[in-house]
Amino acid sequence: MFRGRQVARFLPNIFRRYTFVLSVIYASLFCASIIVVLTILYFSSFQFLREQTDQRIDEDVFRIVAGTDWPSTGTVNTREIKDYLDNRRRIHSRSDPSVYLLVDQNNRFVAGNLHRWPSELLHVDGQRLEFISQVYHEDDTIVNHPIRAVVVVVANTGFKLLVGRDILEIEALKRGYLRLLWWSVVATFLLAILGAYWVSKIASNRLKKVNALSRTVMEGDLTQRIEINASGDQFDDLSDNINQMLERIQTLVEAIRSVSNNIAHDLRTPLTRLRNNLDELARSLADRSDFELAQAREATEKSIYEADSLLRTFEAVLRIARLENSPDSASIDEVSATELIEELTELYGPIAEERSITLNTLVDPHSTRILVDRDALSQALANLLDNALKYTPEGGTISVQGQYLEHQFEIAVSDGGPGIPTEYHQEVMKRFVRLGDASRTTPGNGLGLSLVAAVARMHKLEVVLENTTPGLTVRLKKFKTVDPKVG
Amino acid sequence: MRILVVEDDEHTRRFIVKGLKESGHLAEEAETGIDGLHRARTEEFDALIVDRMLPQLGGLELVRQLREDNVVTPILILSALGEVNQRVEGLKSGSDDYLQKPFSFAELLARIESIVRRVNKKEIETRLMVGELHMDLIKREVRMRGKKIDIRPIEFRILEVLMRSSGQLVTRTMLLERVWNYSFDPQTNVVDTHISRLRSKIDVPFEYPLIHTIRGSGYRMSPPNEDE
Repeated sequence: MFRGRQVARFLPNIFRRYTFVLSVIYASLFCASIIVVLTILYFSSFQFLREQTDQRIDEDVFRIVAGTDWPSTGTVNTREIKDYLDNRRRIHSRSDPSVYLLVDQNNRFVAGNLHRWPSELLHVDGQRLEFISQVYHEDDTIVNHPIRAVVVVVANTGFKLLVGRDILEIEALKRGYLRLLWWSVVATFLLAILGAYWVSKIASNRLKKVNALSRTVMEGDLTQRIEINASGDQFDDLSDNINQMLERIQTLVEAIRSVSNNIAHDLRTPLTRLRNNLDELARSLADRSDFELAQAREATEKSIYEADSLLRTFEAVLRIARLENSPDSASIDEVSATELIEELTELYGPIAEERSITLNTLVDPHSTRILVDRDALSQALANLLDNALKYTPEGGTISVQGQYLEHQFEIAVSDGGPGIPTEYHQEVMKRFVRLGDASRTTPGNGLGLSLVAAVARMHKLEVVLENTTPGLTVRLKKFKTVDPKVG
Repeated sequence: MRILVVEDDEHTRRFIVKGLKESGHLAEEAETGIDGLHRARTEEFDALIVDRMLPQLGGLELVRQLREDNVVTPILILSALGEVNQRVEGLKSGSDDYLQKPFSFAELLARIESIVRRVNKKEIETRLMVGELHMDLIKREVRMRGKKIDIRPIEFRILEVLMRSSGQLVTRTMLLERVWNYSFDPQTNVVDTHISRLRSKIDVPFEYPLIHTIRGSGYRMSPPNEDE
């Protein structure tokens, strides 16, 4: 399985296509049936030719014997046969391909147009022999020809009479036929491969549209549809079904989106009112100095803080939703990666220093310009730095690197914390997911990495989490650069 | 100051008006864009607070029409839409600041005071002064009682923002926007550590602190005699 997949990877695309494989199977069956038909034809027609030859030979034997006393007396004068044969010493190549040979008890030549008794037989078929022998043509040439013959032992003398026919033409015909069979199989196979390629090309062209659409759907665009070419075939049925399915999904997604927007709006408004009321309350308590009122003010301020963090969570959810649902709203600009990283590390520098954490930056010397939404990417990196600060112990190191790796620009943030077990790497990207004790021991809403994932999706970046020892490295890969330099 | 609040949501409008009155300002109300436009054209205001989504006439369109009529009153746009391009759109219409809902009243007031001050100060400043702290914007130099203070570029920028709004609240969000040009709040309180560094250079070595923390909101820079 593994090997098969590896091999398949090296094959050109077309040979891996399902339709192509189907067509090749069909073509192979077609070739096989052609071979079967031609083989049957071959055997039956040469069987017929052989029977005809044998019939002629039998007629010859009968003719020779009919010229002697054999039928009436039961004895044969070999002389009569010899005389008969001497008249036909040469072969008449076209009209009469008959061969004869009469030998005595010691296989010595007596008469006929064959020179010698055959020493090597090619084939024995019942009473029939096939062999190669020199024959004398009427124009005195001597040629090696294949012969099919029958041997008759002359009853009372021990002489042997061989009567046969030159089957050169039949053999030639046979070879020709076999050549024809071979070439027609080759031609059929080539045509079949060509046909398979063509058929799969047609099919895959139509499937290509479906695949292209699937990709746009995966990227979050539900508005595209497959065009239907009105031939009413299965592809049209498939396309039509997919279109209808998308229509339905789009309606549902829009319904869900508007519902969640409504929920967001409906919850945010009363929360804001609550917060504003608390704000007013805090302000009215601000100038009062007696102890109980001061306590009330403190409680109010705590409540404002709580309301603010709820509102921030809401804002984060809505921001992620906006990034995911309307990637077009991003304001993509040319930004110097070095500057962007340095601005952030400048922002985080003092707080890292306060906690005795070393904050390293490594940026490429070319000051690569990347195409990004500066604010969104800064927020994503700020979230990564927030996390890194949260989990790196005092005295640890955090590093931010922006560089070309394997010809692609990437930004990586590494911390000195405990890392995240590999099996949770996908999980932590989801909204509100916080691992283990984190939900109790550290502040946060579990949206930091979801926002990173959303920003990455918006920029078509790849997010890779890696456990380094110690700590976790989050890589944002495949940035679009303005002037791609080869690392 | 006399401030016009153009906002269709009654609750938000009341909240702003009440806050403004409590802070000693005169607040006028308009419910629709048309009404707001009419009043802004015919009456004299020190500042306008305009909601972006208004019935009949949108906030941005209102600002555009006022600017076409050469009304230069500073305007702050309030909006639930806070993405960068929406902010840019808001500022391009001719408004002076853009505040995303929900907001705290302190933030709104700080921004209103800041834009009014900015718009009224026509000449370009080259020197800023708060108490005995002097900032030379051309030489990029800060002196306290004539003694030069060694200060990093980022700290210079923070100090500049604070000094330009001296006597007024500058929120953390405002600092993030004006110093770093970020429209998001990082989870960690990164701004505070920058301020405490700045304090260690200009407040700690001298008797009177100039940078004051306003609880839950931000910072205010004011000379010692104005300090309560």
